[in-house]
Amino acid sequence: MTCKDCRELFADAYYDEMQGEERTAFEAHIASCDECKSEYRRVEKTLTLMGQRERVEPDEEYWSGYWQALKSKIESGAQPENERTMPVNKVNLRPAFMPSWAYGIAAMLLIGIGVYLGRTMFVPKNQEILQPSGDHTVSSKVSPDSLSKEEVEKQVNMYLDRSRALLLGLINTPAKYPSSTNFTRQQQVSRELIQQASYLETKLGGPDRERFRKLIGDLGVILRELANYSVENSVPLIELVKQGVDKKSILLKINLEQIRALDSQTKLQERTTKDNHKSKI
Amino acid sequence: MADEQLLIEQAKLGDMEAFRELVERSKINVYRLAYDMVRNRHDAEDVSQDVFLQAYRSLSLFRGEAKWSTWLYRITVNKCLDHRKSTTRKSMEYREDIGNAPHSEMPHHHSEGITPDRAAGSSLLQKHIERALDCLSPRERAVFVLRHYHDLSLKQIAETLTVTEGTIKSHLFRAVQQLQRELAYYRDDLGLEKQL
Repeated sequence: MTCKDCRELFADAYYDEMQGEERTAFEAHIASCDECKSEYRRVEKTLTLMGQRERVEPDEEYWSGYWQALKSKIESGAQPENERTMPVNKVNLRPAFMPSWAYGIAAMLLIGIGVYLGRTMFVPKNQEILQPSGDHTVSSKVSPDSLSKEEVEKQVNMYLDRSRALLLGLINTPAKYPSSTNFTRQQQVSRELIQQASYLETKLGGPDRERFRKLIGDLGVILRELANYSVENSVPLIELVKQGVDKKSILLKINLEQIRALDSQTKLQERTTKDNHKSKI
Repeated sequence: MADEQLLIEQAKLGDMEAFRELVERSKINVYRLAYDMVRNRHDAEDVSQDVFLQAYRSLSLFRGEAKWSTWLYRITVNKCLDHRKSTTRKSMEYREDIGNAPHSEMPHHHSEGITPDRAAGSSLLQKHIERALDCLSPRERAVFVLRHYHDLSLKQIAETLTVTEGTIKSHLFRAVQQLQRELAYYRDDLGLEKQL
């Protein structure tokens, strides 16, 4: 354990929030490092000092009239201050020094910047589509108009394969991984898939398009949650993905879509073989 | 806490006596947390009443996923943060400095056996402690007071503030560092090393 690691654990050690190997390593370091030992002594003293704080308590008279005062407020229909802004199941940790209108302006600016960046950087260019498999960072130049129906279906199939692999990989992550595990790569893939889906959607026609749109709508909810996930979120990422996958039965839908695509490919092949046969005759 | 659960269910059905019992059981803790956050007796009294008023109006939203005390603490922290925002907007000051507060706001030292010197020393210590707490951000203060004065574990605090345990750890770490800096003079230079 380094001195830096050790010092980061001072509060945990003081409040007895360490167990097992971590505590053993901490104690061993403190025993062997004079600087950390004296620094930890200072932390202990500071916190002991904080423990000497005295509160101003209301007198007996206040407590004896407490319920009556509260009851009167309840019966008179008084509203608690700021009730409309007070979610009871969530803590609002917005800093106190900024007025709410400043957040409004900041939000508008962020949305504007987001839209600008989205339009200039993330929307696929006409001549460019992302490769759904293999080296995902390389894009291939294909004229969209030149894509045949079969080619689009192939791309859709690869898109679904990649989405399924991503989701399966996440939901099967072993439980031993800490919730702080970095999923940057998966988030990047998720963003690529969202981008690819919006492109493919424009290339499909007729009933295929409607079906696909519905599927990517469901899939998009999960992919967007994954792409925008931040460590501040109280639900672990894997849990979030699992919930989304279960709720939307997404893997089942992907499988059904691929079976349907396979079926249509088989029919197409049969038709082509028949046509070839006829032309030979 | 089956008894508490029963009281909550009865209160949800409009039983005021059941709600009263819930209030009686938790009013002191709610007041103390409010005081630790706003650090002014009158504001803490107002906030604590507001907390129960809010709790009464939102009873139907209490689904029992968290403990009753956790839920109340959550409302209290929210109320205190909002209270702080509104007072900040009004006066552009976080709070009245306890050093300039009226005498009634200072902890009392009327007990027998406390000499004027000791009372003055204690008053100085209180002033330093309050000033050190002033230097913490609202979230650091919420985490620190819940851990230090209300003895909630990091896990319970994470549940109360609806953030991850890792976030709580980093807030606590920063809070302790800040307090270290703020109290260094008092702790080291006034010879407190010997006292503690």
